[in-house]
Amino acid sequence: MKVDFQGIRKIIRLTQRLAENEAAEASQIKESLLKIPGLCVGSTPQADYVPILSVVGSLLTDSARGMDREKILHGVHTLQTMVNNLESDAAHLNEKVQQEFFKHWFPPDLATHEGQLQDDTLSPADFLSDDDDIDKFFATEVQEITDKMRFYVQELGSPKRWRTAVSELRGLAHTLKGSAAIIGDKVISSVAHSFEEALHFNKQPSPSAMTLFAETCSTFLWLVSHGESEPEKRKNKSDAILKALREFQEPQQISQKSIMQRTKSTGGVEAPQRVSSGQIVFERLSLLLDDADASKALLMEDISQLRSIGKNIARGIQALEDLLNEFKALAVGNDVATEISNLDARTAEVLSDLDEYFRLLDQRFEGCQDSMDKIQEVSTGLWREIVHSRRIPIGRMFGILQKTVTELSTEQGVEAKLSLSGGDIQVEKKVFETLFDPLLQLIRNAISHAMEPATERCAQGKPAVGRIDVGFSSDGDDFIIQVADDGRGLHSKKLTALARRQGLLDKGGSVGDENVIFISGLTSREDISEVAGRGIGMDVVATGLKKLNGMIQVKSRDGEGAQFHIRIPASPFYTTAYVVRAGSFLFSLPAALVHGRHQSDQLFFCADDYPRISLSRVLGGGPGERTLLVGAVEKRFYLEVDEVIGEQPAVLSRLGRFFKGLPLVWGATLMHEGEMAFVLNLRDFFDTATKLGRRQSKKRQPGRRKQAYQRAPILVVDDSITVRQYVERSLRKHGYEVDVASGGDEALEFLARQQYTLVITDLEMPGMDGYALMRKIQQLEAWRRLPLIVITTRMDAAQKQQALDSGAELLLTKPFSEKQLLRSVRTLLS
Amino acid sequence: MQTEILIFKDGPLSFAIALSEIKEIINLRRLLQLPFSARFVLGLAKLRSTVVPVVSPYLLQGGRGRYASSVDYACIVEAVKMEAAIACEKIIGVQTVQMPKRVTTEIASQVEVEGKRVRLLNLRHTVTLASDSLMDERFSVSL
Repeated sequence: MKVDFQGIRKIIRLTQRLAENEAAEASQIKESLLKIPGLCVGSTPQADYVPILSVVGSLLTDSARGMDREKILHGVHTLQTMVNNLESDAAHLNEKVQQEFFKHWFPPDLATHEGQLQDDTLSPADFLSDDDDIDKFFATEVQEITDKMRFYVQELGSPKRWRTAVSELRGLAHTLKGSAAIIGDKVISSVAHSFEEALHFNKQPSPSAMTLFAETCSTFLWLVSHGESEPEKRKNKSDAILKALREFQEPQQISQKSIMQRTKSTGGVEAPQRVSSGQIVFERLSLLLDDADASKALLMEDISQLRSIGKNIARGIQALEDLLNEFKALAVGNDVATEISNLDARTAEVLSDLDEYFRLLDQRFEGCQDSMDKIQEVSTGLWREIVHSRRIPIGRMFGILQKTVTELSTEQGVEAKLSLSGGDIQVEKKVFETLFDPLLQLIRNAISHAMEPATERCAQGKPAVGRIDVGFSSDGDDFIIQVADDGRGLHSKKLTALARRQGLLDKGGSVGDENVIFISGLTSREDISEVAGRGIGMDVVATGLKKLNGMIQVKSRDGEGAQFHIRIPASPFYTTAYVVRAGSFLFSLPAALVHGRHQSDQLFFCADDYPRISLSRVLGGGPGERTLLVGAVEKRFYLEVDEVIGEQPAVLSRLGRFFKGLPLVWGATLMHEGEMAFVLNLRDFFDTATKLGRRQSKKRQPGRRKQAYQRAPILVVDDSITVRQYVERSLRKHGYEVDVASGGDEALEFLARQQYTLVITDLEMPGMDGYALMRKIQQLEAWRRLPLIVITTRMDAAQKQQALDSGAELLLTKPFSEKQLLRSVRTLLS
Repeated sequence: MQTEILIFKDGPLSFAIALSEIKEIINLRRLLQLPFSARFVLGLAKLRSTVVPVVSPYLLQGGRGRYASSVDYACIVEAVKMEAAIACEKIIGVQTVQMPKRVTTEIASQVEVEGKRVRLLNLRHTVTLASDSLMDERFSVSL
């Protein structure tokens, strides 16, 4: 938090004047306060000044009511104390964090205190030993939370954004409740709890409700600025706002909250807690490390430049020596020769000195490099420690999930059993908190939409008790969740028709099979109950997963159930990135979503029919020279790029609000060399590309497409007449025009006469074999981009590699089915 | 009303930002180029755990020509809840000036500093305009 103490002092001076003037001047002072630059944006006070303004506001009110001068002076004194505390906070926090940070970076004697680094590993408790510290952190946190709350209260006025605002407000109230409970401030905790409860409604709140929420925000600030030394005042203030919040509560509450409350009251596990005040220090430490990484990158650059300068000095010395030698050769006469000899001796000394300096400089460089290596080692270790300390086992939410299933099953009149596995998997706290709502929503949907009553299940031959399986696992840097049920399934066709009827999907429009459930507002329920029917449930899932840069795939079979496969980066801050270049831009992809990378730069892949999307082409370049298979489960696709750089550890940075409209990019990564790369949002990229692909294919006439294939002959090269016939017939049957050649030489003659769109070739052939043919094709500019498929009986890894090196893009092993052949051809021709 | 402003050059023009609106000044060493971004976005700079766009006020105002490599510093500012870095090709100094009385909807209003005209940035409009027109028309064509 940035505090402009100069600005605050101006406010104090103005407020002190208040005590010495008549009440009539209070409004003038208020006006002058609001005119101080930077104090307000429009009519909204800046976050740093809000608590101060709150006190000033109270003083002005008191003054207007004719309160006595002594009380106002007392208020000014309170104000002065607040400012002193703020100043002291900022200085103390900075000092403490820096001390801790540098203590870990540069222990007094690393060689003799090897165990110290581990002993000194930071934990939140280290920063929570002093009650005053906790209070200060809490005050800071309340300020930040309230500032955000004020923003979202304003957003409640927007017809488009109010739902998001409600959700954010609930989260903030929940955070505040947890933090207040931690420091033992029951008053704030209770107001935050009531505020959270009041934020359950299903229509846009009225202006009076917004006013109430704004007052609640002010109350938080008032309560935090009036410590527990004034219990009576705090009680009166909180009672007033609690009463107002209770009176406001809407009749239609989403039952999720009530379920959580009931679970708590019946002794269930605690609901997930959000960020506590002690974590502020952790966050700051993380940021410092982040800065350290950036500084290290800059230092590396400096060293590199210094080396370059050093080399230039060396070259200069050499040039000087050369010149002197030339001058010596030109000298005539003894006197001149003596002069030159003296000059030469002096120059030699200078040169010798320069050499020495250069040697020392080089030593320094080596020292810098060693230091850099140590910094790298320590910072990586610290990163690991911090990332690890922020993780909590996912099993902590199992109790509440079980309870939810029990309660909802009873309410809905169905029988369901929840099986949970992988509870020991650890995830970042942020992931845990953000994931909770989407997961709960999926389970609620499974019970309220998918699960049939026992009689219906028995009639279908299913067990009377339905199953919901939730499994957690990890895959590299990613966290995987599988949610499966054996209920009705999604009936995607019905849902698509329903979406059209409800006007949520254009006539003829499609979002692709099961993805229809993610259409906002779509509901299959005719009645609105406490748990279902509003059509916003899957919105919660999609929004939550988007925040975590997660991917979700849905599989469903009518009458047999549905499966949700979710993949989320385990840490929202640190990852292993797979770096690629497209055009002049670097992109990083989550390493766990890149497949086949161990084979070679160029991917060896089988004839699966995945879509092919060129990132290079999107950026205005060619098709891309390297192909990677990326994505998860059903959203896999071939991504064409210009260069594959490889795996690197990377720090993730989210793009700020400024970029809110920017599609396809999720954030940026800073890599160890200091380079930055965009994190490609593979899900968005896939969805956008496939949507555009569909749009383009719709524009084409079916007849014209067939003709296009017919006009694009394929050359089949094989010495076996059976294979030639088989391939030729299979392709012709599907509208392709085909030429056949029995060997490499004949194939070259065909290629010289006619333009082909694809060559399918055997490897082992008499005369020119398949390898030689492909190399020949690669050498000629006109044919270089011709796609090549190799068909062969058997190959070992070396032969596969040789085929790929010769230019093959796809390998088909004999025997292959007609379907496999067609898939391969379509893949390359698409 | 008197206020302190930071005066800097961007392209051939002089600009200024009220000192109280500057969160910090950063040294621009590395910029990440954003594909298909508008000309005024010189690139993206990393600022701790986030990434901020580096916006050239000169190019945002419709200036032509140059540059990017000549920009060494940027002022981190926040307006309408959005953080951005305003490119400073050369920092001139700090002056106290009389704030213009007339409220303008332009991204800058003119103030006199030692007889010279300086464009005092209205950050609210500057940041909003930059965010709204972040990508150029090639982006949608490419998609």
